[in-house]
Amino acid sequence: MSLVSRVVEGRGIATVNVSTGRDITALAMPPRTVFVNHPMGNPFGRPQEQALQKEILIHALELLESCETPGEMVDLPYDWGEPVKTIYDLEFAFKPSAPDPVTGKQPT
Amino acid sequence: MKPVDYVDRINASYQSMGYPPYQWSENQEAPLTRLKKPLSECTVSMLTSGGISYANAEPFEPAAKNNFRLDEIDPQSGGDSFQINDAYYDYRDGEKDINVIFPIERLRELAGDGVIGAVARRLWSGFMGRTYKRRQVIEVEAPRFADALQQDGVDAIVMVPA
Repeated sequence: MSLVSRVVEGRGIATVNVSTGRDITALAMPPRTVFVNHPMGNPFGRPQEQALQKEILIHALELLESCETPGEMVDLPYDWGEPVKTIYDLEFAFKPSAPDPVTGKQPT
Repeated sequence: MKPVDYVDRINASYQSMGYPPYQWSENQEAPLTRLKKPLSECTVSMLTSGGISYANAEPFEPAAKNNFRLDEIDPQSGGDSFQINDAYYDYRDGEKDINVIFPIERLRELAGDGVIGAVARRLWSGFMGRTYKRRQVIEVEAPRFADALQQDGVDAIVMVPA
């Protein structure tokens, strides 16, 4: 996704990423990011939390205007309130993707 | 609470399966396009890579690799008109309320409130699953996507990776 953001930004359209994977996003460096320390499936919060969903979306939109530094990442002050789980913590999860069997290349 | 160390976890997972270290996308700089007008006058689109499609459409392949399917989403769609299929994150809350991952109803409200000028003619779902062909993304798929955004007069876009 960060790669797409960088291309779109380069074409004159402002982008903002709403990231839950801080370290991955920091490496890939999209033009602007708000980081939310939530599970990957919940960047905007929990079901029916309309006020929080809107608040996080507004933070992202505001960064479109305020960002002066390319690659800036803003840590939003939200706490999930319980440990943030990943697919590795869940029994139903698929196994993580292996390298491409044909090319041997790794997934992004 | 400390953010999840996804890089370390995924590296460890690869190592445990006997694969070489994961090749992360790394950049030292980024492009920056400043908004040409106030946010309240901007046309805003949104892209999710969370495997979201219309409930009555073909589902995304959950463990997709190099899948460059890109669905157009009507910004007036009801919040309950979607399904989610993705092997790489827990989307159970998104099935209850799409707005936790793809806040289509909130974006419409912000246009109604005048925070943004308008919601774009098309929102998007694509670039999901695992992508090995990064060059194809950078040289073909992302530029094609940028073309579509330009056709719609999009000034800014919210990108929601999953």
